[in-house]
Amino acid sequence: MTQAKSHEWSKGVKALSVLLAVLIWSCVILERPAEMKLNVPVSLERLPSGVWVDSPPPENLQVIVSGPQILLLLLPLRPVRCEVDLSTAGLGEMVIAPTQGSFGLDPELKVVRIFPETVTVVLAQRK
Amino acid sequence: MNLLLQNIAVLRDLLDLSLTILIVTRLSRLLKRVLALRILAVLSALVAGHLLARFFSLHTVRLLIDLFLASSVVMLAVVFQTDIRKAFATLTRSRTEKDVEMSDVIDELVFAVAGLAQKRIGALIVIERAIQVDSYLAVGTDIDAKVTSELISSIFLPYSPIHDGAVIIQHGKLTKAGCFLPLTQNLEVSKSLGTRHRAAMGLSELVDAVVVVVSEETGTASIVVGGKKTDVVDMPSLGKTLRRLVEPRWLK
Repeated sequence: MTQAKSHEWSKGVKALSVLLAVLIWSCVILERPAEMKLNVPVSLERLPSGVWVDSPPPENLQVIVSGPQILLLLLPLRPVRCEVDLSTAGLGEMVIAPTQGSFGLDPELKVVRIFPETVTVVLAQRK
Repeated sequence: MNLLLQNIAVLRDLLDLSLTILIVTRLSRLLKRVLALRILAVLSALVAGHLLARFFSLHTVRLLIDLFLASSVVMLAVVFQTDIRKAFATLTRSRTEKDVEMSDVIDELVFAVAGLAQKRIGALIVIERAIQVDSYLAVGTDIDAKVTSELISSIFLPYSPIHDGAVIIQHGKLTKAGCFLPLTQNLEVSKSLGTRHRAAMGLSELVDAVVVVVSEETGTASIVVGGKKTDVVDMPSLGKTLRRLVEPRWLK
């Protein structure tokens, strides 16, 4: 191996060592817990037939989600929404408190806070 | 107060990253250069794969990569058990022990050179430093022995079959004798210099080795580094110069 080639190999080993160290460090840093505030649209699902929404819920909910940073990074790019199941809903005013499952998030992500905490929907008979 | 805490957190992260780089770089030095590149590349690819799989929530791919990463520690330990054992042995040895070893090698060399110079016996001794010299050596006999003045003197005695060449000292051991070195192509080198000096210059122009030459015509010793020859005034100064030029890590 010539001196120049040997020097190149050493440089390569050093560069790869630094790269590996940065990658390992990133793995650790990105696993740190963090919080993120999201504006999540509310969507009404499985509305019973012959019923219509007289007073719709707020368009968006403010949600604070916590979990590993690496999972939070992709969250703004993913379509997250709050699904309100109305399959068992009756006529009149309904107050629904969205839960963790309403948002379809990764199981490692936790919903810490929702504002407003409840969603009010008024259902009426279609004439 | 908040800003101060934030700054401390950033500094802590930087310290964490710097120490990680230091540890990985030091560990990679334990591996042989060609192998180190491949292993580091594979490990980097696996860690990058883990990050991507985690980022895109690819659970099965992540599981497989994590299995590979976890088992790679055991695999590396098995493959490099000898190197790891050596590294631990070096770590546990005290500094004074290492210094004594280095001092031994250089003392033996100086003693041999003094004897050879006095008897006007030509000698060519190559001490390898950071760059390997193997690819520049022609012929030669493998020896792999402890450096002693008696051994060096007997190799260069005129009736020895391997006296006409260089002895190579690698990692504090006399590994080869009777090796032919590439001659210098420098036209500015004095015509009065013999083949032995030209060979010393030729090799030292290509690698960072330290070459000690004993002239059989004049009975003087000289040190050649980087294609430059320096005459040795007396033997204590030879020892002093060698200790300055050859770091203990190159004799391990």
